[in-house]
Amino acid sequence: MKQRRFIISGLAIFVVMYALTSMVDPFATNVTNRLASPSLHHLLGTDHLGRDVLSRLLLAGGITVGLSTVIILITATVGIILGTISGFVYRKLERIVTKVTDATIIFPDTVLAIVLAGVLGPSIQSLVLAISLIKWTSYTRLVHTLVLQESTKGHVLAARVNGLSKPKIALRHVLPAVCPHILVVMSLDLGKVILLISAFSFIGLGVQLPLPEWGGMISEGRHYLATNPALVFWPAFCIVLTIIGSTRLSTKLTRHFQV
Amino acid sequence: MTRFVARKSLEWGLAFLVFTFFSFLLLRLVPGDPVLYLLKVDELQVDVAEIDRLREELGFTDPVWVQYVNWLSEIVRLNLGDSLITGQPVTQLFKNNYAATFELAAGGLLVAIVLAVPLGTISAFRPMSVFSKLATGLSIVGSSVPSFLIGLFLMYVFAVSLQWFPVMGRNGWDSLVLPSLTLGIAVGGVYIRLIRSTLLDVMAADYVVIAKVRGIRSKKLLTRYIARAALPPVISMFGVSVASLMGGVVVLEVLFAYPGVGKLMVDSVLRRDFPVLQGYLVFTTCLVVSINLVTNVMLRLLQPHLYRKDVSR
Amino acid sequence: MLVIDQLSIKHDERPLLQDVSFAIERNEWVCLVGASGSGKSLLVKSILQMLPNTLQTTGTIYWNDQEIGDASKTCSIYGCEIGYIPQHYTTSFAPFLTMDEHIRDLFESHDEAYDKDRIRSAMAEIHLSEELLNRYPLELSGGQLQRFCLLLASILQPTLIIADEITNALDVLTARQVTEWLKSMIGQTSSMLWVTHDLAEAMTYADHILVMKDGRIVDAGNREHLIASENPYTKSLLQAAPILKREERLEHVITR
Repeated sequence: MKQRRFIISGLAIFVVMYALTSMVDPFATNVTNRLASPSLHHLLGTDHLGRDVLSRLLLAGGITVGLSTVIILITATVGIILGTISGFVYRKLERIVTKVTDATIIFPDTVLAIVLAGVLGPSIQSLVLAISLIKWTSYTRLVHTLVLQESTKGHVLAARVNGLSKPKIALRHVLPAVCPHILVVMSLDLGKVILLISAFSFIGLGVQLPLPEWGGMISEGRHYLATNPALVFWPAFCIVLTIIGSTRLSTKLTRHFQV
Repeated sequence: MTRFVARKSLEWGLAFLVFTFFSFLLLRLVPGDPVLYLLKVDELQVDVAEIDRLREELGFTDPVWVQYVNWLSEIVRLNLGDSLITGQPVTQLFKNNYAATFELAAGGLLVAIVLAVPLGTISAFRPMSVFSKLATGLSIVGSSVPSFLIGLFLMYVFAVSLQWFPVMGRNGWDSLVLPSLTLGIAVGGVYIRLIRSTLLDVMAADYVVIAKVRGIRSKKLLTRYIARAALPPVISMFGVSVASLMGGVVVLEVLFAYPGVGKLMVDSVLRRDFPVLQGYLVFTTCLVVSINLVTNVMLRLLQPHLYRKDVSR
Repeated sequence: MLVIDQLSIKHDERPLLQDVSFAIERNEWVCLVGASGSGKSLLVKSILQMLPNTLQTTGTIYWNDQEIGDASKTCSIYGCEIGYIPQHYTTSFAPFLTMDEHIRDLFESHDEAYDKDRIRSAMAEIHLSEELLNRYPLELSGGQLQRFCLLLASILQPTLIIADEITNALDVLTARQVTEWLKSMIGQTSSMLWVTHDLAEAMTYADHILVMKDGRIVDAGNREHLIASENPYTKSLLQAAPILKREERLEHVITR
């Protein structure tokens, strides 16, 4: 029952978003209508270039969520592969992998992102690369620990005794048990990565104009903080909403899997 | 003990070399010919012979590791190259700007300590009090809300609306208040929770209760038993959180237009000033490595029982 | 010396201890017997002020005619006049302090000079080699840790030692060793409040036995009194202990 409601509301939101975004062009500037108050045509008003705020918000949301999903999928996959190998399939790699992850975790992510952006030019690609380079280590470590724990359990040992090859055991026994934990972490990370993307777009690296992004919109809007605080408020609100959403998602998942 | 320090220094030294090697490689990552790029900045018409000569002069024809060693020797002599834009030595640029960053980081850390230690401690000892609730709220805000949002909020309330503090820039002490407060809340949020849970764990530990029953006095109990047991997780966390601290400083420098190293970096990105960026990477690596070395040593001092050779862990 | 007067402890209206009253005199060995959950440990913990604030306590505990409250005096009593041997000795030492540091802390907290000779002789008595002083708790075996617990509890020659089910996890021989050592070494100078669920042990060593059930003291007396007791619970305890089925067997145990 609840699942159906969830799907329906998700679809509804998507439809509404699509309709709204296609109605008003998020890129259309209209200097004669700058910083307008909310009206029927522009439900949340316009920004300093006359662009519709709402459609930009929604588009930014889509871009941000899409990007973070990509990042998380990439890093989680790398993490799962490396973690399973170093934790179970080929233990000899463990020392190297642990040392590398330990060292990388300590390194500042923002610094790396800045430098990468400087080298490759500020763009979505450099942002994705930077965040992926940082996050892969935490997944590797997580999976490594989980796999290690799981490998001591009865069903895995039984499979070993029965002669099943390590990779097959990993696929059939270890990973399914480990998946719930990983999914929970992924859901939490969704929020974190969205935050990172917003922060980087705020300082100018990452999603470039004219593509809208919440952080970028805040950065543009803060010059008008005194007169039009709404320009900053709405993107900020979206960010906070996303954080809450991601936390609730991870709580729901935790409860569902009873992790 | 000395052996421990030596071993750890070696490990971190190795890490330093690895990191700097990567940052060195980064210049080579630039799409296209680095030499052409360097020359393009001047926007002169140069003929091929000139390009080749420059290429050899700058050492780009040497094998990679030779270039790396040369570069490393320059680094050690604190020669980080010159800015592509201004021509100033990178170290000079840093010198001009580090004061602001240092102020911001120090201010933020101070606020974080002043917030986290008392609030975390009180909420462990008096879980029902007003302070405890304040601590919980602050820790949720600090750890979930991104620092630039906290900063914006504070900016709007205290600078724009109430006009108690300047909105941006660096003009005296009151410019430092809002940025430090922001950073402090963002960093402190995590620590409040950590301190509280660590203290709760420690206070409930058998050996603390029994020490009390054996008559160990409160003051001694507090310092020798409780504080010493509670410190290691906090110190560990600090080593890890240096990264987010540095990130936070950069973002806040942009937000509050505080002219520090972070802001310099962002500008350098937009202007594609590679030597500055590389210098920043080297500098950051140094900082991270030394801080972690120090935390390693501190942990060793606080937890000698974990480092006994014949202990099976 | 130690007087408990109408001690009652409640947790949210549920009574855990009810109207417990007894006294311990000098050089007396008092045993507290009862099944698990009868309130023995709770009583001990309340004497030592180890209980959390969430419990409601009424009644008073007197030590040498002074009420034990949250006064600053308590520090000087605990560890010095009242010694405590905990049940879980493996976790009773701070993992980052050596055994010697633990001992030093003890002496310092009670303003006593660190007496190396006394420690040395005490350690020799209970078969603890001196080099263990520089070790950390996790380097010691369970038996060694327990003996250190005994050491720390007794080294300042307290007038009362409280032992909370310390022979619980021990085999019969070791339990015997421990109780014999305590009786000979400390029995002379100190009183004992000994908590156990082994009735035979209590009968063998105690001068006075308190039987507890569901938070109350249901019977009290020396071993003769208990053997002859009409109290149904005491009788069932006696009958349950296999070697105490008949008086002759009991005599045999005691006079061994």
